[in-house]
Amino acid sequence: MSEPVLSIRDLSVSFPHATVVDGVGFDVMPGEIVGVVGESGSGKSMTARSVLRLLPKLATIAGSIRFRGQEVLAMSPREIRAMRGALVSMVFQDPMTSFNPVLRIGDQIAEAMTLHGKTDRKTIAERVSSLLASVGIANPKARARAYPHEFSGGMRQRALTAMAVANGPALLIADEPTTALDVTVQDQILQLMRDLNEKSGTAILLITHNIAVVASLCQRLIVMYAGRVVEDGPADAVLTKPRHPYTWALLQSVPRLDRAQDGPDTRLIAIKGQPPDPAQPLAGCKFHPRCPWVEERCTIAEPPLEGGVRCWVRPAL
Amino acid sequence: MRPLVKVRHVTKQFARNKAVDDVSFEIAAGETLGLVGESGSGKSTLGRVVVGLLPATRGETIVDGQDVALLRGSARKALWRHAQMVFQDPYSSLNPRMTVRDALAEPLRNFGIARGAEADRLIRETLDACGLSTTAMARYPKEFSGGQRQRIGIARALIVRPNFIVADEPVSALDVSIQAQIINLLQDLKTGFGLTYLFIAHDLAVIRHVSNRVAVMYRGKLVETAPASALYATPRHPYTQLLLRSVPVPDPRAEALRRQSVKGAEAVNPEAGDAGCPFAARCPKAQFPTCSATAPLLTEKAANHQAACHFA
Repeated sequence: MSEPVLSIRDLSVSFPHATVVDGVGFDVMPGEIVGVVGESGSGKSMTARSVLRLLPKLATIAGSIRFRGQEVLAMSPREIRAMRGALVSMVFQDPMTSFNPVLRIGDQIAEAMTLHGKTDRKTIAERVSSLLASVGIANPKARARAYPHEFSGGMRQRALTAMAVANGPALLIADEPTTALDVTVQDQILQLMRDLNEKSGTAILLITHNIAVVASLCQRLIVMYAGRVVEDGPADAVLTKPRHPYTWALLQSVPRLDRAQDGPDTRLIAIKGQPPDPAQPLAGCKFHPRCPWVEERCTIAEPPLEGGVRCWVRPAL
Repeated sequence: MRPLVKVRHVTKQFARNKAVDDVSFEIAAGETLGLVGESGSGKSTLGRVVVGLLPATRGETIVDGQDVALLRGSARKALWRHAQMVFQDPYSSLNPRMTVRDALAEPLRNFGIARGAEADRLIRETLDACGLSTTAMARYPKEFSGGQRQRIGIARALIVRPNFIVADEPVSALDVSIQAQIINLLQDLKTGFGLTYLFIAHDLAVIRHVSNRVAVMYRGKLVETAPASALYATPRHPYTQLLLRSVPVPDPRAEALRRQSVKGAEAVNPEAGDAGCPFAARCPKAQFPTCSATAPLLTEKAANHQAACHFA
């Protein structure tokens, strides 16, 4: 078996009054698309940002993140910069704030390449238009001279993806890449990521709150809740036979177009209560106050992540 | 059934941009009409015009027998007693300096419904109906989570006991596990208080779940209206078909089938111009010059099922 591109072990991210990522571990294999699903406060974005060391100043980070065997947490600022954008790159939710509004799109993509040693202007210009063409932007040579505000939201997210893959990274981290987009544009961006993965073998770590987006794209699925991984397995299995009560509840609580009987006479199975406050440590399983299968042991000690599930009870779901 | 809301040929123009373009529909008493469309389709603007928060450029909106545009002063206030709005963002639709009690007492006072002890009784009753504890009364919006804040926003609309509520993306800013709670709450309130909803959302699955009837909006126009079951089972307009095929589903096998079906659901037609059908430029079924010459009107294609397409 080949080496993982990314290997995270015992990762914790803490702020002065709260631990937001707590003992997270998983691998991403070359060419694999791994989805991390969770709600706000689950720690999914902080986990993703840790890989590029893009955390707020106040955050302290512990554990191990290995990229192709090299310890990211031990890298010097210079080594980090050499890695960012070249070997590992990131696409964020909001393509408007990811671009500099006063620079042309093409120049910003070119800059991403010059920073990592490519210098010949003509080759760069050609590469910029071929990248824009590859993400489905018509008339790429002319569009490279446009400013971010002249692009629609979907086009900006395509251009951002073009910039992210400009240097042929081994790993692309996409943090809610389609959340701000319309459903037809979302589908195009998902297709774009699928193509990138198939054509160039780029591994993708997809962070999202939308469990359907994961089904569309990912081979593996990691479910996070309150800073913990609660379930980890093949996307197929997790989505059709979830084993953790939270994953099951999350799948039940969304209205779905693939279920024939759904309408104003049916009720959604809602998850009661709300996610725990990270500033107020909770004994036992982090999901126990909201779990329909809670038992006494769940309130006392936290279950370990065993066989891809973090649950004492393991009810038949 | 008696129509509670009648919207006739409503146009709302901002400068040169027609955000809403000659839209007509009715909502029967006790019905939920789902209004779905992508960003910029004009669905929020339409919602605001219907409830009288924005004046229409042309056309009329009749709520409970009264023309919203003609109402002034106290008559308009009286309308708002019957037609209320729930907003997407409970963070910005509540005054951060008002306690929950003050926020809920204000409309009671404004409409001359109740004061003092009677107001407090109504506030407690409404908070309870919205799943909030009465201890919430003395607290400020910032002390609540997003889901609870949306419950406060709903309570504020409900406190005057309206019969019609326009809910504009009421769950899209909320976490997935909280969305279901709020959707269920809105359904319970509909039954409990006999409400009629115009439910605006971009999420097609949410719209199907809450709606009796659905209207699809594209670039300011209604392109299709039908009972929810018919619209989702047999969409007539190519735009509705594209939208429905674009929604990923959480079942991997169903998702693989969907990905197959979405191929060819969208086209690039450079011959489409500004005249004609608004969807012509993206429509896989477009035939030129028909589709670039005249804009199709919303017409009956099957029982209660209307679409604005030359070829649907």
